[in-house]
Amino acid sequence: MVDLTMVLLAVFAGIALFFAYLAISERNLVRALIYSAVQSSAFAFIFYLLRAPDIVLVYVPISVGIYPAAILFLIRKTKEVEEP
Amino acid sequence: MRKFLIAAAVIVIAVLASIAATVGGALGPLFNGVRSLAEFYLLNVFNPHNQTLTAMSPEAVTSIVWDYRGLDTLFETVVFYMAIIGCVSLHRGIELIRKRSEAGLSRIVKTVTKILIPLNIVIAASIALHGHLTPGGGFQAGAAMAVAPIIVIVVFSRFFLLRKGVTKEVALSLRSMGLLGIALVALIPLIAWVTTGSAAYVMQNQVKADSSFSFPAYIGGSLVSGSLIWYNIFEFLAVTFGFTIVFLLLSVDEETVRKVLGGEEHE
Amino acid sequence: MVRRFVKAVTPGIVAFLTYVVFSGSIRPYDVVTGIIVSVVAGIITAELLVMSPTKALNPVRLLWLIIYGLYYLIIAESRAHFDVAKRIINPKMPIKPGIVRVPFNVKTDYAITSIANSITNTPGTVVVDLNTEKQVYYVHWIDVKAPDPKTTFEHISKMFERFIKKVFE
Repeated sequence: MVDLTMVLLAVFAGIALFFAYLAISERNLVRALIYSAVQSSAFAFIFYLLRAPDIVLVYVPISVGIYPAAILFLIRKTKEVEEP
Repeated sequence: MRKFLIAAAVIVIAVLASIAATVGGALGPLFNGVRSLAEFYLLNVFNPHNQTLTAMSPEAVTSIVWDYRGLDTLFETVVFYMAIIGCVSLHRGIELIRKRSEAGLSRIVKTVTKILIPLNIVIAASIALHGHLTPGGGFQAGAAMAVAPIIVIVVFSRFFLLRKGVTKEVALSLRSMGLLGIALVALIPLIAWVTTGSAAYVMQNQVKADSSFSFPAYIGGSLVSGSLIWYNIFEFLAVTFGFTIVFLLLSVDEETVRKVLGGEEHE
Repeated sequence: MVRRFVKAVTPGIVAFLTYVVFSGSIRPYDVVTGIIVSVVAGIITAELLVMSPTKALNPVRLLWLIIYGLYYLIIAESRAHFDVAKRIINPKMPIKPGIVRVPFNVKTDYAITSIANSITNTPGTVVVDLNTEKQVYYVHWIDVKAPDPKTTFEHISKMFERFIKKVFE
């Protein structure tokens, strides 16, 4: 039952969870954004492992291109560091 | 430190729970055989012997997205364009001025970026034009294509994009052309209804039990899967320029935006 | 207008090859759509990518590019890899890092970029910044032999520039 796909799924899910934690706890918004983008990239791998290539094709440009760019433009319109 | 421990504990519990769920089978079989619903689509998406149920496309996802569940996708598309229209109307009154500007990153980055632009265009176009044959489709291709204007804005500055003719008006009209194309392809079956009197359905692709209308599944011997290729092309156009408008508007700096939208104070 | 079409030939060919490779098939459908798409992509990017169409279509330059590619991947890369690997394995770790000026004598964007990327891709040297007015790269070097422009040029970019000049200048 425990095959390579399962192990890889667990690894990428763990990476995603770890970076999600980092993204939430980070006060510097640009760094938080990078952590969040890494998390999305891990999700893209998970979609690939779950045999959903259509989702991967839309998730890769969104997670590494459009999403960080959109949030970066928005961060530039506010402050870079979140206030406590 | 305490916060970190809590987070680590949550991660460990989540990992253990997911292992228990998958290995213990609490979520049911994951990769175990083909369900009856999947069987129906696998049998029928490309089935020349049963013309009334087929979409004439070997790609099951695109068939479902634009044929079997076409209206769902149409409404998804509408939601996406509502968001873009919202963004455009929030930025009303802001003029995207064109001026000569040498802003941007260094010459090395600019050169490498401009080499990548044609490659980005053809790869996105390939995803769109093979959407009915291999994984991919209009939205995927549009998202891949939209990366090109974004990196141009970041590396060269938005003035460069505006100078090359990709203005808000051009992008808006190309996006509207894409939407219009989708609407036209959806309504073409009705022309058959008007002219021949046989039944026809909105977003119909191949012949149905009580309707003889059908988009050509082959053009010049190549499989184009009826309406699917047209939906993919127009969605590609619309998504690309939808994202382009949003990023052109987002790249305007906050001071200019506030000057226009901030209003004034009255005593 | 005609000039623009001539300029579009080189990017168009590259675009078509990318299209076919990415699609992974070469049936009539792929060829027809590929030609349409690469003509469009070529015309859109022609003015941006190609300054002089005769230079872009010159087969002698292409031959020099291939020779340079072989030289770079086989000789220059392995030499630099061996050098850095020796420094890593050596228990004394004989490094002397620093940022030095390396002059260049080329004008076009492509030549400047190719030399900079050649320097960066070989281990041990990284281009940090460049100044096009003074015609220098600022290069981080793992083992600074001497900071004067003559030594740095001799050790870092002389051979790259000799080939790149034949390809792009």
